[in-house]
Amino acid sequence: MKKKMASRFSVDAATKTHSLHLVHPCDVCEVRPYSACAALNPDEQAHLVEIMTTVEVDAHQPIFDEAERAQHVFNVTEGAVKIYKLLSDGRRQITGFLFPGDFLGLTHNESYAYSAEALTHTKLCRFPRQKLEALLDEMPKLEQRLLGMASHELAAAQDQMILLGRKSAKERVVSFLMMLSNAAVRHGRPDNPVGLPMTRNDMGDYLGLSLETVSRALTQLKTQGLIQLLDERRVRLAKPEAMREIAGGV
Amino acid sequence: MNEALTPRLLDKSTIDRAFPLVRNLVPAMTQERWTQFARPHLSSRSPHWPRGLMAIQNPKGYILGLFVFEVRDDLYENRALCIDNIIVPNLPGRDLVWTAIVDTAEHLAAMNGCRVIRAGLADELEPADTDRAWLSASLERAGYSLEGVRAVKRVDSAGAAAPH
Repeated sequence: MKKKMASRFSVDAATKTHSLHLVHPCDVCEVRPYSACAALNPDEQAHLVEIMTTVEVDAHQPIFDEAERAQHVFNVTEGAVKIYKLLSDGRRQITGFLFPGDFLGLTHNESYAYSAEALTHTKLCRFPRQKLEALLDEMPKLEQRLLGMASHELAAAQDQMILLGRKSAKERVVSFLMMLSNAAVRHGRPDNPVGLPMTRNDMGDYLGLSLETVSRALTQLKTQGLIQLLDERRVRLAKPEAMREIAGGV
Repeated sequence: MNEALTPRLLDKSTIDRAFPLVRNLVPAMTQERWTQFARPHLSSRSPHWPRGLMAIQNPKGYILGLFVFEVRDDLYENRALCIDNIIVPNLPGRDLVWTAIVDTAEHLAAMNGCRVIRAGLADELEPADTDRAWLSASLERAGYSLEGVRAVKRVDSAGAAAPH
């Protein structure tokens, strides 16, 4: 309980909010064409802006905790987020990674089903959930667009189920890299090189592999000339077609 | 039906994909327990009495809705399509998912010569009270009417053999 309170406190301490802007962030938002907001006309956009606050969260700081009352819905505009669940035995299972353009916090229940933590310095649009739900009743286009994109937490968790299904360690790592590459394209970023804002430990947690196995698989892919490790956070896909074949259709 | 949402009959290789949706509804659910629950619904007792798990998916293949169905012998109607464990997550656009579920159930009923569809809400994947109210109102809007009562009594099962 102490830990939980401490982490909640750190959310407040690390989160900087801005509700007044001379130039509104939506006007200069790079992910707008790729997020649910793209479906809105200027009038609808203005309604959404009225209930929105921009939030910045430092790397490795929580955005919300599992079981906390779900008061806000977020749209990632910059940075990267990991979502995870705490298992009954105390272990942590990362169920997805979210990137600019992704919504999070669209939970089924009154409380968040996952915890969300910033992987890097992250900027988000924050909407009070009740006000957003009321607005969605008046804005079917946004509602439909959000449904089309699914709740990204849900989509990310479903992607993970595919990754974990009957694949070898190497196939999982390759599939993961291809998935990140595909996600980059969906969000209007180049598909290659692939950014890896998460640690190798996080990758292993997500893929159900140990840290050593992830590192071994990456080294093996490098040795085979399939990837180039540009630095800790970036991988170039040297032979994307061959990798797609290994990934088995991801 | 909304063309963006399509029904998909789940099988052994795809039931895992529905797990995140189920866990979204029941956070404490484990994958093992979900698989254990889902498997018996996958195989029909005979071709004449089909049953299964039907998912509603979007064009990207993400599962947004789910229900269990079974064609049963009905004393008065001859054949009835029974649906339960209806999962519609409380997300924006859930009315569209709901409509897809209703349309799919009606299509299944027509395909299997059923003159009646029975939908159950008091099932294993128990929805929250607010969702139950929403489901109940949505069923009514879709032309369903309340019929009969199903009662549940929790009994002390200490000492009884676990079913699983």
